Amino acid sequence: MTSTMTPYRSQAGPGRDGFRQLLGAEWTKFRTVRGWWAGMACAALAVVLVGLLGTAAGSHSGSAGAGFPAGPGGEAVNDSFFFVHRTLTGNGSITVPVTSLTGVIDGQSREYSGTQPWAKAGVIMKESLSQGSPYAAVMATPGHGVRMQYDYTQDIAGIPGAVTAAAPRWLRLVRSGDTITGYDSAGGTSWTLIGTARLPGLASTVQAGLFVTSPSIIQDSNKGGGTVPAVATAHFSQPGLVGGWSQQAWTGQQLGGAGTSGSYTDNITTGQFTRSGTGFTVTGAGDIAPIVGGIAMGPGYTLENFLVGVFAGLVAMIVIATLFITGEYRRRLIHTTLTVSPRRGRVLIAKALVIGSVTFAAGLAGAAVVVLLGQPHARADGFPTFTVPPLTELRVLAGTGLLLAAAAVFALALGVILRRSAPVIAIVVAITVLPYILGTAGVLPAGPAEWLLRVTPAAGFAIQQSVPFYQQVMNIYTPPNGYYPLAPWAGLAVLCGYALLALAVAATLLRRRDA
Amino acid sequence: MRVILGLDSAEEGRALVGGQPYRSLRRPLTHIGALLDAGALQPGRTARHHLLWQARSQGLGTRRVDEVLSLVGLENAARRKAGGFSLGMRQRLGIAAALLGDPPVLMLDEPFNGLDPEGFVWIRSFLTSLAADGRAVLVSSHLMSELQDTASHLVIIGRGKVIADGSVRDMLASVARDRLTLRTPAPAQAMDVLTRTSAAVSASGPGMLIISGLPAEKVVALLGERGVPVSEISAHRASLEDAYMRLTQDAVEYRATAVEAQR
Repeated sequence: MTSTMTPYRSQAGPGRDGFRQLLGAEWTKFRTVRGWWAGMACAALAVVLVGLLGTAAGSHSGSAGAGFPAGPGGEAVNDSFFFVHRTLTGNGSITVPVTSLTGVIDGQSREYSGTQPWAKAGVIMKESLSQGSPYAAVMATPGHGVRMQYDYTQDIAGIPGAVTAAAPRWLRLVRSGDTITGYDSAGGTSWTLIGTARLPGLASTVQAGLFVTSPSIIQDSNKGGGTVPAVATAHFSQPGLVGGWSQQAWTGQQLGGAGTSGSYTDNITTGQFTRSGTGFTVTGAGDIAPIVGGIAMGPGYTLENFLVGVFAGLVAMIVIATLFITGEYRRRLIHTTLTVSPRRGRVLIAKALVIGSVTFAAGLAGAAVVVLLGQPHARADGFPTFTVPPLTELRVLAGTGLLLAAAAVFALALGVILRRSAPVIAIVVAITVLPYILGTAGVLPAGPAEWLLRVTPAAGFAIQQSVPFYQQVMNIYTPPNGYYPLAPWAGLAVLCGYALLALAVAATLLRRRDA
Repeated sequence: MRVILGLDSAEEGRALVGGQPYRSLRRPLTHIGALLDAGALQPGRTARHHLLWQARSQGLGTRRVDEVLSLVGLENAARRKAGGFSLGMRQRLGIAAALLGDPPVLMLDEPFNGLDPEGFVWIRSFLTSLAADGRAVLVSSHLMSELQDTASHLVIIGRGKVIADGSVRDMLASVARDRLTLRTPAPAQAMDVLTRTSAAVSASGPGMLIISGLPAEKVVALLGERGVPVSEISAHRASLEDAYMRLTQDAVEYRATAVEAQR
């Protein structure tokens, strides 16, 4: 070339090399390798297939299409108790002393005396006899003193201590319009207000009276525990009624069977009440409470039960996310990448956004499909499905996508740090998938299982928990029963913390190291 | 080359492209196009897609991708997976990538590797035409004979040091000066006669001698006098290899390895 020649000027035409173009380039990279997008589709398919297989365990005796009753808030509830009732129209009150609360527990070979700590005996005002209708109640319990509970999820403590002949518990409910107020008293003379329930739109005429119920006893074991039927019997003195009570006789009936968490015993197969000169003796089993997951739920499927295949999809997605970067190192394509886009931190962010979005979309699609297909299938087989509010369902499904996306970004960032596929895949699977399986399968005792699901990236699986925790419902709230030690978003934040930390280290190394 | 492209950091000094560090270039492919490693590609991706993602990063579209594919003669292989390409095809694909941004500077590392004879002819004329557009084309190679026909300016680097830096014509001229090739049926006699003069003589093949330090007429006269038959005498056609050998003479230690590397 001679110096007389005019230097060449690029004819490439206008264009930018901004972040959008970089994203486009990384997306083009992903979509043009068939193994990757086909693998991603297979991962979503694995979520669906493993989920359907895991929830297709034969059929259950429950009637096809049956679901759990829903409370006023839409939550699944048990509404099962022996109810001795009359109608009350307009305002009014009921006052009654509970003088004893005992029970029978179904032992291995014989039945013996004893009570479930959350057995309930008290007074209740309930809109109707239909399952899940609004109510307010004040009750004595063997293990938790007097409580005022209403609309299934609300629970307020009253006088502590158990009921004995020497220490009866006086209970009172007062209706005034939409509000029902609960009181208790140790001697029937000085009364303490426990709480006020506001039941908007409560019908003018309600069913009111005495009730007894008792959930089964739950025994702990690693695998999730077992239940032991328990029945409670309470003696009430003559109730004092004020207001528009009907003149009919008291009617006794079991509402809602024994529910998911209660059971009559071999010898006491049904609830009953007897009336004597001193009052009423009522026997019942069941529970008036929100349904929780795990052993207390009984047969049935929660939302997360359908997502049991997510771990399988996660393994595949970790592999793809890793190869998305380590493949470039292996083939020295990273040089090309960093030559066309020398701003390295942005390259990493673009790559993370692409792999994160793809895994989010595939995970969300897989989760939505398996729930849409699995729930009707399970209901047709006679298994009730645990329904949750729409926002919770959205959180679980979108959270599953986020969980997979965060794990994929974590793998990608480790891929930049280590530059080799095998160790990255091994590490991410070992600290994300393995603790999840160990923690939730009941292989480990509850303590270590909860510890694993708190500090490892597997904590992110908490985002899938749809089952609620209620301290007033006896259950084994451990990982094998679907209960994570961290709140859903806190658990996801732990996983995201790992991903972000790895991303920060990866960005620093990528900038500093020779490519 | 890796330092120029901002891939590695320099131990000393700095590399600028058009006055700027590579990492601060906007749309770098429109400033400089490089082929470092023709094997650097995802085997499952087609040739077209391999170029497409690079084009996208510079805000370029599929049209430019198709243009460069036909420039390097890969239009018929555009939708084939690059993993199945021969080394020669990969070289063409790499050159196509370097051309995406239509840059004024091209930097190609060993572009002749793996080419078939047709490929050699193609790349020589292609590189020459790119340079004729007014582009600077920087080629690194061990194949001296290829450079001799294509390059105009030569930098010889050995052991990380610049050994020579000049135009190919000057370098060849410096080696070719007063050297003669003699073909004779009696090389031993000719050698005998000529070594008695101040000339340096060496055998370069059967019946072939290379003579320096003596003009052609003098050689012919001397040999005629002694009755040594001469088939042909000509000015020696210097090769870049000769120039290289001559220039690296001082670094004897290095020469042995360099020659080895050429084979």
